[in-house]
Amino acid sequence: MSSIKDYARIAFRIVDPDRIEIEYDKEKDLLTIYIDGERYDDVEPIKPFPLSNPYYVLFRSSITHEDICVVRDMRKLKEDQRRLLERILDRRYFVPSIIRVYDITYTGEYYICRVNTDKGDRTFKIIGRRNVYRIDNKIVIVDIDENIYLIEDYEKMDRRSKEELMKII
Amino acid sequence: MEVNLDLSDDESIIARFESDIGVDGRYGVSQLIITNKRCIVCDDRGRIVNSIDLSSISSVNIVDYVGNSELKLILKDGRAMHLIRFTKSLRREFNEAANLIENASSTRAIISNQRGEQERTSFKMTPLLFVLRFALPYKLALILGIASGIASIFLGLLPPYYLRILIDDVILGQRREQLIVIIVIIVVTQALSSMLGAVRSYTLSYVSLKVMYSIRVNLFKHIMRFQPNILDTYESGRLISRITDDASRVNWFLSWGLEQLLRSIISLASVATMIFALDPRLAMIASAPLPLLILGVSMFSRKARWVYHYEWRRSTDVSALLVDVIPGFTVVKAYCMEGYEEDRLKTKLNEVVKAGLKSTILNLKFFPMLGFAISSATAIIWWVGGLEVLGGRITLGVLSAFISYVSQFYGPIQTLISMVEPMKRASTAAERIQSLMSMEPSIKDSPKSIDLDIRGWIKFENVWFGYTPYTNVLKNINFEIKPGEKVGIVGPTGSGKTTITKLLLRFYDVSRGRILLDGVDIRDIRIESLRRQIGIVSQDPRLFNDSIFNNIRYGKPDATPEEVMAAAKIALAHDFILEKPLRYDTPCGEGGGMLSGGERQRIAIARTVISDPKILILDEATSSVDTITEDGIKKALDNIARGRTTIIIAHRLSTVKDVDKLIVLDKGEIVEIGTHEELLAKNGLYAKLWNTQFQEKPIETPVNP
Repeated sequence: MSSIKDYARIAFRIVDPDRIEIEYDKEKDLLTIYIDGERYDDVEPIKPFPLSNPYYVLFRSSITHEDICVVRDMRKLKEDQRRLLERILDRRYFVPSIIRVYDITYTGEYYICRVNTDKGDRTFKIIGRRNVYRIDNKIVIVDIDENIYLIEDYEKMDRRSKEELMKII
Repeated sequence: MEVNLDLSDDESIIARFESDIGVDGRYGVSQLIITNKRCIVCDDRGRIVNSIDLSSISSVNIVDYVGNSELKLILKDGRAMHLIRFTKSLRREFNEAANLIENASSTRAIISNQRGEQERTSFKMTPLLFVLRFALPYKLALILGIASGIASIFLGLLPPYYLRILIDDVILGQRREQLIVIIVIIVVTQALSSMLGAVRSYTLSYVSLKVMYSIRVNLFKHIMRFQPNILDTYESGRLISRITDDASRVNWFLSWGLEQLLRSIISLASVATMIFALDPRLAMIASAPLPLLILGVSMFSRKARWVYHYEWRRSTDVSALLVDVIPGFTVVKAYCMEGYEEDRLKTKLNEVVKAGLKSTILNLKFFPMLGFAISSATAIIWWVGGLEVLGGRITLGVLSAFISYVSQFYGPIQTLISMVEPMKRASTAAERIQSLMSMEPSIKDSPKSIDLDIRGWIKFENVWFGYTPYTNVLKNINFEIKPGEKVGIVGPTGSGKTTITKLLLRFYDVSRGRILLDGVDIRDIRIESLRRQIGIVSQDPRLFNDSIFNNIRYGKPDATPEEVMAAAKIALAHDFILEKPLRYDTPCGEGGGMLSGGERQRIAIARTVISDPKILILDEATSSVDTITEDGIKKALDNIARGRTTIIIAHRLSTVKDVDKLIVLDKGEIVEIGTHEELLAKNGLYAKLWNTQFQEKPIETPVNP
């Protein structure tokens, strides 16, 4: 009888951030990674828990879909490696963090949200609570076009923003 | 009933059961007495009509007929004996008797049949006092709130008093210098009254919200102590209603009703004192409408109860229709029944309108009369009081103060009248909460329950079970599964396959017989210990409105991210999860509604896999996935099932043909046990089912023109 713990250890190799080297293959828009000198080509970095654990990265072969390894906290990678990975992941995961909510108005059909995010100001529409999810302290908003916005911590928002957000949460 | 049993020295009575059918087959009395040696049946005069040695009994059955049942013995020599008859009302008791006879030589405590969860209907404490118990931790705030309310009443009595001084002494007495003093006093009094009102509102609201919180948490915790069989007694909607609606009604009583009740009574008493002190004759006139009001209130409340209930039921009819039709929107559209549903809704809405008008008419019959009685009394007071002032018997100030008090006198009366109906509702809600809270689960750990590290040896010994006492779903089930063995349970729909797993998980207790796990009766294993080691994937998995990650981790709350992904990988869910934009953080929606049936099923499998169960139950686990996915999941489950005792319940026989042993059920009985090949060779029910599913179609011979 193999326990889930044993199977997890085999299926998802946890790699020490110091032991991994990352190279970017610009043409394929994929990575080549080296773990203790062992080379893996055509690797795609994936955030399996993009909201609840955003620094957790899974490296997966884009050809065989084999899970090669995981890095539990990409912030612990060597500086140049971290920056390279962040740049690639930033493009793949565009989830702006809402810093302020200017106002939320209701048109009878949609809620129109005017917000300030870490990527700039944005106006988007949602239908209602169905588009708003809570994951721990975080609030995830998916607009009608399936763009995703994140509120890292509702409690830390300013008073005005919280009052506006009360209309949709 | 005196019975001379003539017991031997080493014979003692274990139990007596009285039947409501006599030995002559008419309503009457007969008795079954079970000793440690015999079963004895006596007639209504205590004469022994039958006596059987326990040692000669092979098996005990209860046979159900129309309107009555009988306890039937099969003796070791093969003879059948009809021991005693009883009506269905005593079915449960005689089920225990059958248990007892069967286990008479054993020292095990007799387990009663599934009685369901019985509600108590009479209590030592009145329902509203019962809910007030929850306010005890906040008694200081409650006292402060009520005290502020009462203080504000007394403060409210001051302005009319100062009004009299203002008119008689200051204005008519031309005392200009006192004008500002009186005005300031009146303003300060009003300000204090407002402040006390605010304190009252806040504290009572605080207490009521806290109490509602405690009631809801306690009710939820209490319900969670029960087993799923509580849903046989209560529908889930009724349980939800107790936590939400009933708690809200009790909240009304605490935040508003209780204080208003006390406030109105105190206010009424104090204002009455004031008006009688000011002018007893006018006070008598003011009190004149009271008998009429009391009579009216009692008549109104009697009628209003039914009218309001009628109106409420019509509204719930509309809700029920919408709850039924809106989720079935696709069916309505597919059958082009929009017009039909619209008509149904119109009918229900018309009934709401009619019921609403009925209650409006009732209100109109009563409240204008009340208003007229009050206005008439006030007019008479003005008339008589005016004559008194003109005659110089009382001052204008006294009359003004009196009129001001009279308006305060009728206010509480109106409040008390309007409170009759909601108080009744709050009291009913409190009663419902009290009755649920007083209920005890029928299946729970006993003091001797133990934690068991399960190896996975399962044995069903003479197991009988029925969801109701009248119908046995499982009859005399006997089988054994060795640790690590993979067993398939098959049979036609309704043969009792899933019931076996429910008994193993102890969602219900057996009516007779016992289930052993590693040689220990499951009733002697702590329920949590038992269930933590049994994993089940059912045919209709329920996911919670949370992320995929949290749904999988439900099976092991401290699982690492790798364990969650590994479980998903085993369940072949990892790939499709990674294709979703939010990956493992993707919300599943209510009941998993934002995922497809196959996705839900695979996440449910992952949830079971992560819990690392010692015994794995797959109840039609792959029924909602396509055959390619099913094949993949089967391989994955084979991997995780290796070394674990696994029970697979399946309709599709192809999914279980490779198991170590197949148990074939039919109408609650085991009809065959063996391997796939053995059962095919036997050419019994299994072979018949197999052939039905996999019968080769005759090859069609092309016809040459």
